Amino acid sequence: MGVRHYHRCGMAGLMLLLLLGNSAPQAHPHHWIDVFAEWQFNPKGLISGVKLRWLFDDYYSVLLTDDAAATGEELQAILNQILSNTSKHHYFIRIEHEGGEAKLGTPEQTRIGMRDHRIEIEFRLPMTVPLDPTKSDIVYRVAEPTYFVEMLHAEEGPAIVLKDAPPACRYHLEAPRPDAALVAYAASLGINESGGDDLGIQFSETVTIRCE
Amino acid sequence: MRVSCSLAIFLAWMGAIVFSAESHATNILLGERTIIEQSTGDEYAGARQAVAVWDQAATWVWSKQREFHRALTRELRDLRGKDGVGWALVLMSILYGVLHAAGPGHGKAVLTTYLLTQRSRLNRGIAMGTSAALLQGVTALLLVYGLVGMAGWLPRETETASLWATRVSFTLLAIVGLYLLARAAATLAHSVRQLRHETGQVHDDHAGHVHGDGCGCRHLPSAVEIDTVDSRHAMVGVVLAIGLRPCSGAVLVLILAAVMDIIWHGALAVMAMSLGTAVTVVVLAFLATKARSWASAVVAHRSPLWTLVAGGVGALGGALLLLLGLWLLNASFALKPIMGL
Repeated sequence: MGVRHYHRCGMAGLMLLLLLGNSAPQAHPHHWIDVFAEWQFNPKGLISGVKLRWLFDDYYSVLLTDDAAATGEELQAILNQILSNTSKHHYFIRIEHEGGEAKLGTPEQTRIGMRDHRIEIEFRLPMTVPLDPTKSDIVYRVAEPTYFVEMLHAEEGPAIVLKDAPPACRYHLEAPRPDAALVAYAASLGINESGGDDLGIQFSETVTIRCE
Repeated sequence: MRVSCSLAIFLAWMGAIVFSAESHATNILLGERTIIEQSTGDEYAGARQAVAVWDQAATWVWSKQREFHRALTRELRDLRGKDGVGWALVLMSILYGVLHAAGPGHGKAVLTTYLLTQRSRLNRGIAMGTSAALLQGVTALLLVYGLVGMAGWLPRETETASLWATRVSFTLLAIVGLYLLARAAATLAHSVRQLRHETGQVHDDHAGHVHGDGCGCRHLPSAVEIDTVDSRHAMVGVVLAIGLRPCSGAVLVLILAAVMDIIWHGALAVMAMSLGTAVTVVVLAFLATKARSWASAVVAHRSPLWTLVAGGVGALGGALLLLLGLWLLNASFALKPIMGL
């Protein structure tokens, strides 16, 4: 009898555990962006800048442009707002080099358009001081800080390009490996909640560029 | 023992509500950064201490759901401009529905709280779960297709409409909670009077009943007692409170389908989702009803105080639903238009 009692009690408890917290379909992340990065090397073999391309998911695109048929002017307004807001957050990219963080200039060659009914924006971030990849590895992460939007390098096409790089240069992409408790925490966050500004980075990919 | 079990479960439940009661909206990408309450490191530590098994399960559901959202979007994209039934999309939607319902959610919380704390027959619980799941699909269909397809609303405005439907559902939930609380309080008051009466060993008013020896003059509720008009009102209230809130996955699929001009694929997918949800919810309703009847059957034989306990549990359930409704309603008003622009 006692064993059965605990069995039943456990069953009921387990059942309620399944119900705890907020709605899972509301869990973070709510949208995603496919990221493409082109690292541009100058003739001296230094990295002079990175051209980033963001491809928004279909649903986010529809919500932002109303019906994915926005005019050029409306799109330009969206681009301006995105760049102005992300400027306070390093344009969602962190680049480590020689034990410090690389300094970035203001975006140039900015562009917005629709690709297959999805919003696509592109901008180039120049390095204030060109980075020498032979001195140390270049390690970068791309993340929307609150993890409301998930940003991963695109699966299709070459998502990372080392343009005009010396032949000895390679890159390595490490998939995000958040621990279970962190995932549970993100999953518990509703659409109106935030886990703070350092959540996104913990779900980001780590890319290392090395020139030997 | 049973009582302590139920109590422990309720405490866990309350704890979970408090634990997740954090409101703070933000969307850096497009501005509208609205911080209502700063999240603190303590919550973070609390999350880390959570049970490992629960974390694993949540992680699994979370990652699956994420994959599903992407896969559903991809399927819809592929169906653009194609004829015939998208069986892959339908199958995926059923699975999404099953999984969606297996994850934590307000609908399941409401139904389980109701079934655990209120007397109800098994088939009623199953009917409630099924109709709530199907109603959810119909709500999403009417909301999105009605507004976007017929009234010419913009997708973003539909999200606002969906938010209002959600608020109606939360309000209804609070009302049902209040109703159950009031009813349980009345029953409780009646039981207390009767118990006092019985301890005085007066049995005059029981002339019409037949009692076995030592049963303490307590009987389990008959089907007729359970199936009162009152409880039917409450059940309809619970079903509406769950069903009027469109599921976000369904809204996503329907808005995309409306924009991509594949509304039939979207409708089919959402009905498939509802079907999948119903499957899981019925299992849940079965477990909740059984758990309650196991607990009540044993306690009823052992303790003459069962009516009091049942009344107390009923009142607690009502109070929980009331609090849940009010809390969710409050949280929904803290929400700013997420898309910023």
